[in-house]
Amino acid sequence: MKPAIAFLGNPNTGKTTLFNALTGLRQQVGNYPGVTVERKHGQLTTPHGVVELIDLPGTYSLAAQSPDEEVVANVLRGHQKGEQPLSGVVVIVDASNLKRNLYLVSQVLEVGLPTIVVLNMMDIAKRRGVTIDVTALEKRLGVPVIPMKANVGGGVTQLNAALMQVVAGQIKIPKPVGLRDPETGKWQSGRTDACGDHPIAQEAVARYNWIRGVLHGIVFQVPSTRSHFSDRLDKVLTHRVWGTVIFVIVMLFMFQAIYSWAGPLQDMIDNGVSALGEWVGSWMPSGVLKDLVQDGVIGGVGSVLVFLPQIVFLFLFIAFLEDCGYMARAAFLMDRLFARIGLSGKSFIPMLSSFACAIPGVMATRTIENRRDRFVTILVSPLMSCSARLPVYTLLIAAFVPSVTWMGGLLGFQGAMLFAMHALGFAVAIPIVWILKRTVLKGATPPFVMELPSYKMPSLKLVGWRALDRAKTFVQSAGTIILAMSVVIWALSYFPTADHNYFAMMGHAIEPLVKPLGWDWRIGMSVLAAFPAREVVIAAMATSFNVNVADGDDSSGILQALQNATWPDGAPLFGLAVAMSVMIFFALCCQCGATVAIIRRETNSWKWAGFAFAYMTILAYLAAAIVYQVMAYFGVGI
Amino acid sequence: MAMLKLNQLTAGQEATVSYVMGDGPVSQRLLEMGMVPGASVKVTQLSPWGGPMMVNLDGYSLSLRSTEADLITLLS
Repeated sequence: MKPAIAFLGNPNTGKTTLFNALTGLRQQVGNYPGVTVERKHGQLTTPHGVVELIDLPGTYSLAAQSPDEEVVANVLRGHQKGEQPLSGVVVIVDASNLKRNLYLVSQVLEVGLPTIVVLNMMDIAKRRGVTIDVTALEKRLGVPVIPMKANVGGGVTQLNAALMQVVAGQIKIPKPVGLRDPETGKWQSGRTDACGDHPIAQEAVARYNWIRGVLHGIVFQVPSTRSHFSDRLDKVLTHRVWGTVIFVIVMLFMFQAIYSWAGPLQDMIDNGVSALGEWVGSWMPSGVLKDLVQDGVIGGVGSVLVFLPQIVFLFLFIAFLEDCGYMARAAFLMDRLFARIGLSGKSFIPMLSSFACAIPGVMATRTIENRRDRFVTILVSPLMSCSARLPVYTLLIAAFVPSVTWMGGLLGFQGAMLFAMHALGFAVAIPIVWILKRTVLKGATPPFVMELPSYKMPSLKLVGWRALDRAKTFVQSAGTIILAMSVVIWALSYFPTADHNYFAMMGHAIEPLVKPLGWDWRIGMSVLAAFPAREVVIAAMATSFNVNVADGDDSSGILQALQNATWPDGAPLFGLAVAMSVMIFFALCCQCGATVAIIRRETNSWKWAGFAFAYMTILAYLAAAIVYQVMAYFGVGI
Repeated sequence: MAMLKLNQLTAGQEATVSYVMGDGPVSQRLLEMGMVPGASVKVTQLSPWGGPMMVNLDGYSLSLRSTEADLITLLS
């Protein structure tokens, strides 16, 4: 068996950046059996053979309060199912916040494993006027201490050497810290007063006393009269008025940027797909097979790939906000609202991630300690408009929302509409949470004790890596479920004959059901086909409206086809009202097989997955119908 | 003598922690995060109408609500 070494540390210590630097892209991500805690493995090739590295979830303490912390504690003690006993452990600590980070170190030293301490963010500590005598710290802790800069500049070679020493068995098991009285088992906190008499308080006091002893005389802080950059930034960014205003501007800017920056890249992909379709058409013999490849495969997948740049941009933005430390501030600003509906600001982070994709969003709820609060957050996360909804929004907005801009092109009506569609899911989530917290998932409002990490320049490598990883997942899903659906749709519209096909027959059958939303059968079938995966809607629309993307028509062909589409009596099919009714349906509906599957996995029940699917579908139908009917009544956008 | 609690401070005020009341999960987390006797704490941001507060605890930023700050007794 390969030797295994675990990486652990407090959240926001740069643990994952370091892990990625060591293991590169050779990582396997999965779950521990029976629990919903992420198991992340990577491999490091050394002259002594391959070492298995384990990236454990960020944790403050081994006294487990959340499922994540429980797994971390079990892995360290060698009790975790699905994990081999460890050969050693690397604790990553934040040098600029050494005191609190050493709390976890004091617990790890008691586990009895060869230990390495990585003193990360030395540059940030230096900027804050903190100097650390590393050699003395090494001596006092009795384990190797390796200083490192944030974003991994140097120190990696030293860590590699230390890891090899672990494998070779050259690092001794550290001496236990010895904070308990060996006879009575009581914590040696040096306090006997009644106030801190609980064992919990005794342990914390004993550990922090030990830390004070370890750091005494070897850590120096230059007192500064000027407050730190991070604190000054927080005065504005978490201000009750300015903070909120800036938050809204950041979000607006993000959506407008996605809309305008991705354009040129999209055109390139579009031209590439058309060229591929034409090239295939030039040598394949005519017949069913040619039609299948050209229209079903290239046309179907190609019409979805066009949206890859937007999805990458959205993931880049979210990863950037997360890594620079702004996400925690957003949670702070949102806590008041969330506390009022019965959750905490912590639920905001999974929700914001869900704007990229509900799957990582649902998984990000794992940091929420209380099961009921976690379930509530899971149930509303798919309401956030994920990147798979973007294709529908961008297509319909480009076709039916006038392109007016203000402030020299910085803000525009189209961008504002895109923002409104994203705000809708969040606005609807608020009453849903309120209802869930008072009915099926009743419970008290959870606490909000949360660290706000210092702002830092994000690691461009980490941000880029995460966006790339998502892009890969998107392309893979475009290659499987979307391809399969595209082929099914193509087949339904091809047989028995092109003029009298199954697709149209089914469409006419369901038309009465979608008529209240202002849709004809072609829109209805496009939306229905998109239930397994939203992205399919573009391919389905291309089929419904007879656009051949791969025949040389680019995706503006779909746009024009929608603009020119009419009812049988010649009246235009689409107007702003129908466009909005389609967009609102997409915003609120749970059209994603992968999301339903992840909810089942994370809640360990089909009941909750079914519940999420049912309530969102009903909600989407009603909201789309109401908006269309109201706009039609007042004659707006018809 | 009335005890001074963390949620009674206003923005910019500094104090020293005396002890954390209770032995529930919230108290445990506060203690682990460094709210131990002798720790220095400074209120950096307050939000009105029951929103959370931001404090600087021994050099790092921590957010907590008024109900949680009510568990923390200060040396007066």
